[in-house]
Amino acid sequence: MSINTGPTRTIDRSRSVPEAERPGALGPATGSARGSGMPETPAPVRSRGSLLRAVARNKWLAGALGLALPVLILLLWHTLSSNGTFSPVQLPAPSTVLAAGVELAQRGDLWFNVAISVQRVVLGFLIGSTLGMVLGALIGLSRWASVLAGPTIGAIRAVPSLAWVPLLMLWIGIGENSKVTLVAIGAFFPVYTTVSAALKHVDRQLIEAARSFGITGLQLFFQVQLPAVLPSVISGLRLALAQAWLFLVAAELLGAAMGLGFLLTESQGNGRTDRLLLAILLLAILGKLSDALVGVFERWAARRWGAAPAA
Amino acid sequence: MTAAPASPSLNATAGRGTRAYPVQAATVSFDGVGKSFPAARGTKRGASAPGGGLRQVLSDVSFDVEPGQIVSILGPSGCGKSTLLRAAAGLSTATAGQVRIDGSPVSGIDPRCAVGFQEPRPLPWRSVTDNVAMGLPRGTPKADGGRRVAELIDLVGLTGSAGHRPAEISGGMAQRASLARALARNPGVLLLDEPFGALDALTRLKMQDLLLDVHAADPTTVLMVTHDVEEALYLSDRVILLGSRDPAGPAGIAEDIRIRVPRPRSREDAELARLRSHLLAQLGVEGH
Ligand SMILES: Nc1ncnc2c1ncn2[C@@H]1O[C@H](COP(=O)(O)OP(=O)(O)OP(=O)(O)O)[C@@H](O)[C@H]1O
Ligand SMILES: [Mg+2]
Repeated sequence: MSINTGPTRTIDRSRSVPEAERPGALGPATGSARGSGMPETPAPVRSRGSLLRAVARNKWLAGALGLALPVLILLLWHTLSSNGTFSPVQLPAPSTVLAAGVELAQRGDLWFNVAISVQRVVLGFLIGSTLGMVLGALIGLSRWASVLAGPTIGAIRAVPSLAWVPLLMLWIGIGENSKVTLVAIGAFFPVYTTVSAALKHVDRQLIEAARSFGITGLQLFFQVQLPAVLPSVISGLRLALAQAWLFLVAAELLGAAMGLGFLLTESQGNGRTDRLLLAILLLAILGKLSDALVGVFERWAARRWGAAPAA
Repeated sequence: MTAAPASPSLNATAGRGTRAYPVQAATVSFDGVGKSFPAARGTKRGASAPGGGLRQVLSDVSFDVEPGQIVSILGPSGCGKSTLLRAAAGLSTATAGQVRIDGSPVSGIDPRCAVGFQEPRPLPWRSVTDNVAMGLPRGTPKADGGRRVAELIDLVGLTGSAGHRPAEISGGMAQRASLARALARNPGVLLLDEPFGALDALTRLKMQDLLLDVHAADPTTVLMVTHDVEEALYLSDRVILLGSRDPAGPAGIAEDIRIRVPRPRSREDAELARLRSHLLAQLGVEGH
């Protein structure tokens, strides 16, 4: 006797689509991988060379290959500077640059200049990109805001950003604030532009579907709109970071008593090409490092928001 | 007396057992519903176009759907079937007349409805499971919701792909996920726009039976758009045929057929075959 009595209806599961027709059971290979919940490894592309395939699979190998070109450049640089093609003033040897770095580091100047530049970039980037996101979201989501403020912001954007420098100096002075402000201006526009444009172009059908299931307001923003624009936001942040460094150097070249831009002008003034090259190398390394940090954020956000990877 | 072993067949829990908020099947009344769209650019406007640059798609559509009935809307492509369904869902407003659910007019997206769209429209960054869970009524306890979603995914045959993203499943599978999402809502009115349109013939027949099973377990009101005459006849208590004599004019109800064949129906039923010939003739397909 069944205990399942009473006026209950039974849905016959045999009518649901049988397992054999389900995609997991299509082929033995995919079937076993999916069925056991193993992570799927993308199938290697057959037509490419086997070395390239190995590189795609091995992160360390790819990293090592990425270093090949810098090493080559270093060798070339060393040769050109030591065989008399260029004079030491034109192109000091890599070892000289390294020595200059060590000397500055021992005096403490190096860390001080790096630290002050990093601080300006970080502050300016955070302020600028946050404002860019907030205003971009406002303009992208609200048609009223777009109509009222869109053209004005567009016009401000059309001003070549360095044109603000004299005004900023007049208003804010030559100190930290004017530099951070300039960096913030540089970081603002890439974020603002990408966020507002991306939000305007979120698939209307998706939004409608979500709204039909009662998802509105902030929930709609965080569950649908934000994940949909996340790839654009990240690329906007990447651009903003590059702009932030650009504007930092501009601000420091135009008037600073410390920072990497100051190191550049000072070294130019007293003919220290080794320090000049050192500052350029440091900017390259710092730029790459900060970009890698955005990459970390990108992966975290993809997990947190479940965003689709940028296509 | 022995307890029944865990049965592989879903019992009533799939239909209504896990309901946090049992929902009553609702009445849907179409009351002289008409809909016009702005005429497309490139067509003649103003003086020559009656209605000042508006193109009327639907005119004076009136019928009542009784609670718990399955009603199909048939009609040629572009005649306004989706438009009618969208008016019922509150996704767009009728330009004439009104739709009422249980007597109160629909204005704006109506929480009593769940829509299965003509395109599956999954959120691309969510797994099949999370997409189906989006349909759950607000405030469903987590455990209940999870169970219900898993059951629905099983019913539509997607258990093997529950963790996949929409880009990794086929169009037909996405459509089944979309059906499960609408069912998860446990709505007073289930609005389905060609829910089986992208399915292969065999899966399609199975999904039709599935819909009947779910409906038998939980007889909500179902308003369904289809272009498949046999599907409409096999599933519905009533078929509304939309159409117009003037091809350029708005569509209205051309035919309103009650199907009194008891369920379960045979697909070869003589009465259904007769109605099929009749409807096909109405749709302009002769000689069947
Ligand atoms: N948003 C809109 N703006 C302008 N015209 C529209 C709009 N939506 C639909 N139409 C028009 O209304 C008519 C009916 O469209 P609808 O989508 O309701 O057709 P349908 O009967 O569902 O067709 P199908 O079977 O191909 O899905 C079409 O001619 C279409 O061009
Ligand atoms: Mg349609």
